[in-house]
Amino acid sequence: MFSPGRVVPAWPRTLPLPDGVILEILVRLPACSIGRFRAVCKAWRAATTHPSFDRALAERPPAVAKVTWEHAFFGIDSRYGPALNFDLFRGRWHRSSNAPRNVALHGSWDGVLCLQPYTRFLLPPPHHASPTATADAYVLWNPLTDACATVPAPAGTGRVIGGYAHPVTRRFHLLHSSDEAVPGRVDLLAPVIFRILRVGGDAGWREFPPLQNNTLIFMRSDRDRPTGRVALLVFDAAHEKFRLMAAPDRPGLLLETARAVVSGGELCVLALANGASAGAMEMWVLDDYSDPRACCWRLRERIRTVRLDGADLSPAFVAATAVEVVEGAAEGEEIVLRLEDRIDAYNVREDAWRKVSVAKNASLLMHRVSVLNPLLMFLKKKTLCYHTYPIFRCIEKLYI
Amino acid sequence: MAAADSCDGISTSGGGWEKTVTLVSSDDARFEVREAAASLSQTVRRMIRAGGDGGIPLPKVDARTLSTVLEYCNKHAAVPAPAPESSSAEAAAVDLEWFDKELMHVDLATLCSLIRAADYLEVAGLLDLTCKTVADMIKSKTAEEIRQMFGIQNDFTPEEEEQLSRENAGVFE
Repeated sequence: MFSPGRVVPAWPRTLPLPDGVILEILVRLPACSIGRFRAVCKAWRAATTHPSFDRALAERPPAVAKVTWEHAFFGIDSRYGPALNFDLFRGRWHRSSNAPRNVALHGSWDGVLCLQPYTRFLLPPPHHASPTATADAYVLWNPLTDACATVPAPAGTGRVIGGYAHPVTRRFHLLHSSDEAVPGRVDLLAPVIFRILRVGGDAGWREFPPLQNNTLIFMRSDRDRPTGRVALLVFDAAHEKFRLMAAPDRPGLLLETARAVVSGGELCVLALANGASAGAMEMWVLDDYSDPRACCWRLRERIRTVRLDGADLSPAFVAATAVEVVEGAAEGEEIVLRLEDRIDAYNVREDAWRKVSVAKNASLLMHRVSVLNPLLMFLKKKTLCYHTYPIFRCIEKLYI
Repeated sequence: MAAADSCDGISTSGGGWEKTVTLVSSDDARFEVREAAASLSQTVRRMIRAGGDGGIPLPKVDARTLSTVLEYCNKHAAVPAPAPESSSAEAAAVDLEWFDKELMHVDLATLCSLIRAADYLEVAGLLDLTCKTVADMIKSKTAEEIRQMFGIQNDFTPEEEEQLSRENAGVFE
């Protein structure tokens, strides 16, 4: 094959490539190359910032990243400052620092990270379990295009549960849920209010009509929910509606341990099993979305929770702070668990668990890259200027 | 390949008879291929359905390119439906991967003809393979190198260019 050198081979001028083929080539490039090639000419720039191009990119499987925080020298002028290290999973992770972060990371949707800087110089009030409640704004940031928007947090407690670029307009929307414990009463939950914000508009946060009290397991799941009927709450972005879906129902499946994950573009539920298949977890995949009342779940995988050394991972699965499924080109499907002080991965093909990282203060994040036009996404153009000079090196290391 | 009448049958290794079609390149070379292989091209598949005799004319593809495209089609159409978990399916996949890799060991002009043929004949797998090859080839180039390579005029004004480089400062290096 052709080695990348500084001698540029000339494409045969008599055989120009049709526009459709150029688009097919562009969509197969790594994101940082696409970003660079926006400067080639107006036609290439228009093609790569078009919503349909981003939709084609969205079909690529997202990668799971380990996000850690450190102080480092970086930037063109080698300044010393806070940095987010963004390490994509390729079978294993690099070593990372264990420094605590001073920014909360709520998630990554359609290439946009949702960050929340902790208020500086102020300690969080003691009755708040998490310091995220002290800052009153979210920072949305696409590290690749460096587009950024700041949105106010809604009044009261709660957390961001999801975000998306609208399927048609590609405008970015943020979803928020108020399902926080009543202060001082860990066993009580305040009534849940869901809110949505269209970034760049003047409308502010809009409330959804209240839903029945069900266990929320899609988008992000939390353990220790009052058990009862378990259902999946799925957000339909095109119609801006929440839908409830029946969870896979099988005797012996411990639905209170269920986690919703997306694997290969399909919605799956991972849950521990007892009874006949104790010592295993099951992965159920949703085959048919057409009728939300009669969901058609199929058992896709039965996974041993016992490691080769005999240790049982079931308690760890229940306690895991994040569960993600990732599809590697070489490794195949892997299930990644974020545990208290380490990260474990299960390789489906090899049917084996292994420790992939030791990390105290790392977050797991599913991330896909997006080169979407900031004007479409956030309605205005602004770049991140947070404490120091922002820089981004091909997704491996991400600095703010 | 030898000239042949269209829509004859040839014996396959399995002992059965398989339907074949004849494709005619721009320089009038005739290729007899199994219909299953030729149908990997959506363009040819439509023409087979439309009927006609004396072979299917493909005026935009020369004989040399067509023979490579058909080599690809024959190889990929020969693969039986994948039976997951079986070791032979895995071996076949590995073999195909090797075949694809070898097929892409060509010079730029050939690659260029192949990519245009795959686009015109609508052979999805080959288009994917050739586009990936070009993407791998150009991914580490600069915007200026891309312009040189494809003979593209820089149509940005100096102001726009300054704006672009400000946007991309340090980001895509």
